[in-house]
Amino acid sequence: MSRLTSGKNVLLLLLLVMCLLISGCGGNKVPQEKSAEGESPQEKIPQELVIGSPWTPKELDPVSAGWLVLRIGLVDTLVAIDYDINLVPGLAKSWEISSDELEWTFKLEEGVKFHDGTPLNAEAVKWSLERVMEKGTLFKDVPIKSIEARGDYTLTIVTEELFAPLAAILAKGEAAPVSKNSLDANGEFKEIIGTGPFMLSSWIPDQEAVLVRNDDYWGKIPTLDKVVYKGIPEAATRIMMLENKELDVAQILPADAVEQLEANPEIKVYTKPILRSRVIVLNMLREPFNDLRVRKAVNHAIDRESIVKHIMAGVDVAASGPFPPTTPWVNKNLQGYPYDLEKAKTLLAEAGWKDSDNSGIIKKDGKPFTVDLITYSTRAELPPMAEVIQDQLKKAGIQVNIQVLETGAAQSLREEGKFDMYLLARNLGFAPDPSYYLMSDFHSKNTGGKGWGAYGFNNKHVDELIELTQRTTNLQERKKYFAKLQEIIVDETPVMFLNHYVNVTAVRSNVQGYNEHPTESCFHLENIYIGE
Amino acid sequence: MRGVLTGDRYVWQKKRLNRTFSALKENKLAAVGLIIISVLVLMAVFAPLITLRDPYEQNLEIRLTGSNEKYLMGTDQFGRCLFSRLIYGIRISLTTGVISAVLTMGIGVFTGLLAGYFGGIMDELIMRITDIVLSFPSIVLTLVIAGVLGPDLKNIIIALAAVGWTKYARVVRGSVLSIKEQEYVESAKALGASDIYLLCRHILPNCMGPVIVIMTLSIGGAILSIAGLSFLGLGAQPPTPEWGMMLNQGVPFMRRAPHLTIFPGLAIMITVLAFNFLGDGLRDIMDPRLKSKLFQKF
Amino acid sequence: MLRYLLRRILMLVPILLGVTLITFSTMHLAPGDPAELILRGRLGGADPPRQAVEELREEMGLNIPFYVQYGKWLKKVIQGDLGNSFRTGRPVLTELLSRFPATLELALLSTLISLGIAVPVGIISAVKRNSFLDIFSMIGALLGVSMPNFWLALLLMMFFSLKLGLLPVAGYGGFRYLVLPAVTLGTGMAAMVARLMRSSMLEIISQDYILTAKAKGLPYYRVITGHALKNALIPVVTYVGLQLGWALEGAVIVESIFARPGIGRYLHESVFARDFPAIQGCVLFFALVFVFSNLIVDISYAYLNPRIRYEKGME
Repeated sequence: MSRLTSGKNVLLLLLLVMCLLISGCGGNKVPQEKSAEGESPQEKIPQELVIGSPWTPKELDPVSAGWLVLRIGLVDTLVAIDYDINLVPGLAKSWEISSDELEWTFKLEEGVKFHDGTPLNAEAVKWSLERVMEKGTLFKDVPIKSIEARGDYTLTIVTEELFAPLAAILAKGEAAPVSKNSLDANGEFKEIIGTGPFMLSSWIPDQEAVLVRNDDYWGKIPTLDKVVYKGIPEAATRIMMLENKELDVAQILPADAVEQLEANPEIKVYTKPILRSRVIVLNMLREPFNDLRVRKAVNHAIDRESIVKHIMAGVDVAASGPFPPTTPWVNKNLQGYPYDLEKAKTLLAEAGWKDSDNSGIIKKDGKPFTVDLITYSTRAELPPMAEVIQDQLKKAGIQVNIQVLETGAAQSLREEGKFDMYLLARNLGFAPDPSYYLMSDFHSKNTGGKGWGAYGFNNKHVDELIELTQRTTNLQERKKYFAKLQEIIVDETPVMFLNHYVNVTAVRSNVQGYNEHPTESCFHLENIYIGE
Repeated sequence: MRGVLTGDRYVWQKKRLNRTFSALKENKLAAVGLIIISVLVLMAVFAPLITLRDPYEQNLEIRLTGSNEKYLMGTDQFGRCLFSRLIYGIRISLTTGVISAVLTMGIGVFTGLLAGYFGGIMDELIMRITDIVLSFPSIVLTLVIAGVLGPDLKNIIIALAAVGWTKYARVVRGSVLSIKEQEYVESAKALGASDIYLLCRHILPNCMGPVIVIMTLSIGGAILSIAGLSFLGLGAQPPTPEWGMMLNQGVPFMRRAPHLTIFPGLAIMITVLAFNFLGDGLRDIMDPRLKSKLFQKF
Repeated sequence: MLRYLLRRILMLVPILLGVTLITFSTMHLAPGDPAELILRGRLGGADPPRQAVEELREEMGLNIPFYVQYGKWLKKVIQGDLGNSFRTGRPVLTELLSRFPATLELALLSTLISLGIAVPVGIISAVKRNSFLDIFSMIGALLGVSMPNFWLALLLMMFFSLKLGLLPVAGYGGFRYLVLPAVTLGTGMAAMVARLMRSSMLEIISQDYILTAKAKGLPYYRVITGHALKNALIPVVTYVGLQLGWALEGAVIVESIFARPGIGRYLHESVFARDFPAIQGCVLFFALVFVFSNLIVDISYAYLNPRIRYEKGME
């Protein structure tokens, strides 16, 4: 090749320019050494917190990312949830329901201001909630007739019929009021202006959100000056970053890592049972899981205890129904599906699935029992769980093909019905009323495709019971319905309940006051400070 | 005439093959590469005899143990024997690597022959397509095709072939153009030999030298790409003992069980290195001129 | 020269058309209805109503022939509109621009590292041809080419971050965050550049004028550093120019491992999430960088070496 030997100095010059470019580039970046951390006792400890979460801040509009903005304290809701999962006053200091049970009247906290200084009043809340009705999905199963401002600080929500879980639904981040100035002139969401203890300082979409203290907060004023919320999808990276002091808080870690983290004196580990379960949604619209016997068989073929013991390091709790035993509405009589491989095989044989040719895979009408299991990796324990389940089901002659996807892609496959089993971790308590969860996951209106609940489940009795819970305020009666619902759902098993989630979060040892909320609704950053 | 020509060519090819082998003996690196590859192939074929344990069998009670007398390289996060998995992994990597390289070569040689032999619009069209495909960084296009088709080893092979054929097409086209002008081809043509006959008997065998070199080198490259894409979660799915995926699964245990990260990486490197040794050696032996040209591409 | 230049630039037109066509087609490779995918993106995963899907199909022109769709898309792209990301709803162009610096830094520093290693190694190998040093470094280079960069990244992370605690594990910020990713990428490139440097140097030092210089009694090191190096570097620098594109593609894996918010990681995430406008944006970005760096290299070559023009013209 002649080009190898030819040339002039211009190319050398190019090289030089490139070198200069690079050195210039390097020169701009002054190494960001962390300032000496509390070396002299007189110096104030910097009140800065860096949180690493698997979920990146993609959007900040409460209507679609309410869960996030509420967690990091950018907004408040009318109704709050305390650490014992009771509904307590938030922006609304009290509420009552009219005698005809159709009108909910909320008395708002007075003197609350949005981050832009505009006052929070009934008008503002009405505007915000109406925007949620128009743009969001939160109220789609809520029979709201109208929202009325009946005084500066009195808001009334009128429903078509009694809707008992209304207050609980208002505790979800989606319903958090924002200032009208959050929208631009065209009515498009522009920036988040809420009432929370923290204000947004900067935001790099999909990467991080930087928050600063709201000194005019109406409630407890935070100690932290600044909070950086980073989205780091890989759990292993979050752990390493925490160990390497790049994070102060690493959230949602695999239970498997607890031992290693606890051995580190500079790290504190919190394990907290939360209202979330790891479940497998079965596709009831097609073979083989349209057959109840097969669904039950698969349940019996899974060794839940073994998964908890080895993959979750014994931290989590094997499940026999949807709700963890710590919740008040759990049906304690549920037996669930104890591990019983023989029973599984018998049930499968009854349904026509037999290993007729001794290949190790059972067949029916010559068709092998091969199913697709989809899951995602943002929760680090799910792919290994899938692999253990794959191995366990193989013992029953079932071949499972695993596909580990991104959450959105997994969700699309579910919606298109291109799956047999969908392994996921489902939150049960963003709205702390089981009625909301049961409605969204098991009512036949909602099992057609979207969402995270049952798929293709259609049970009139369940529908009726769910509707009853919505129309009943009497606690004892509701509890009875909930118990019955759990019984039917476990028996029909459109969703297999595997274990109850114990959340693992690790923090640097100088982070004080971290307390995971059992519903994961809020981090309560205002209670956290840096100190010994 | 026809018979004589074929006979001559046969003898000539055999000679060349012999020469290649004796040269291989002298080129130490290539020989080392060939030996490693042979050992790997033997290990893959006789995997059930070498390993004591089922690479898929989980035993959660003994997960993440280090090397011990029962488990040569320890166990993984499901208590599976890492050594067995690595050995069975040779099967996956070699077969996917070779299949993708052969498929890629097949498409590339076919299009290259078409372009070079028939020329005209066909040539123009094929060469413009190669220009376009070569305008993408190959990993990017491979990643996108594999990703969009869905995570599966099969899709990676398709994606690699869809992107990689261009480099064969160009080389083959070049060789065809020069061979076409040669006397013996011209005379065979004058004697009424068909296009197919000419292509298969004369032209194809004569452009196989560089093709084999590129292919050997690209098996290494394909193994690397497949492992990389599997590492990114776009290739093999569990419980396949694919090295890239094994490596990825080992990351969470980097501190507790570094062997899960170290050994699969080592396996990938040794395999790829062997193909690169061999390919490099073959290149020197078969066509020293090729050396500087290929540097542009590898 | 002018004719060559014109020809070269004219040749870009079909290439760019082809590149955009392939880019546009990625969306149609995927199973499923693009309109539904977009709506699902807008609704954050919720099931879009039938009617809305139909309306969007109409609006997107999915009911019209493919080439017309492509034409419409291309027109938008030329105006700088790459569409909005399914995941975030923001313009893809904005997203790309915000991620560009992270990738550029990485590409430049890794290129510099690769030159820093490869040039001296290549020279020594060539000058001391077939010596122990030569064989050693060329085997080293082959090793470097064969080493999976994701593995190297993990090993570096294990050693420098976890064991020694010297450098951050992951993230983006100052120079400290750049070191490990750049070293990972740079060493892989260095392996290739070193081999090229060696062969280029070998070719030069066997040429007449070098031999003459030597015969004239100039000290050998002056011959090497003065005459030979300058000429031997030319193909290397060109190659490195081309390899800038290579560094960009290596960024996909390296950025993913080190959680660097660059375009490579963005592509990986978008592919995983099937965020088609974002995928198209990334692919187009990478291809354009590639095409134009090739163009610049070719033109500067033609300018320097008249023979190339004819060779190229004949291709």
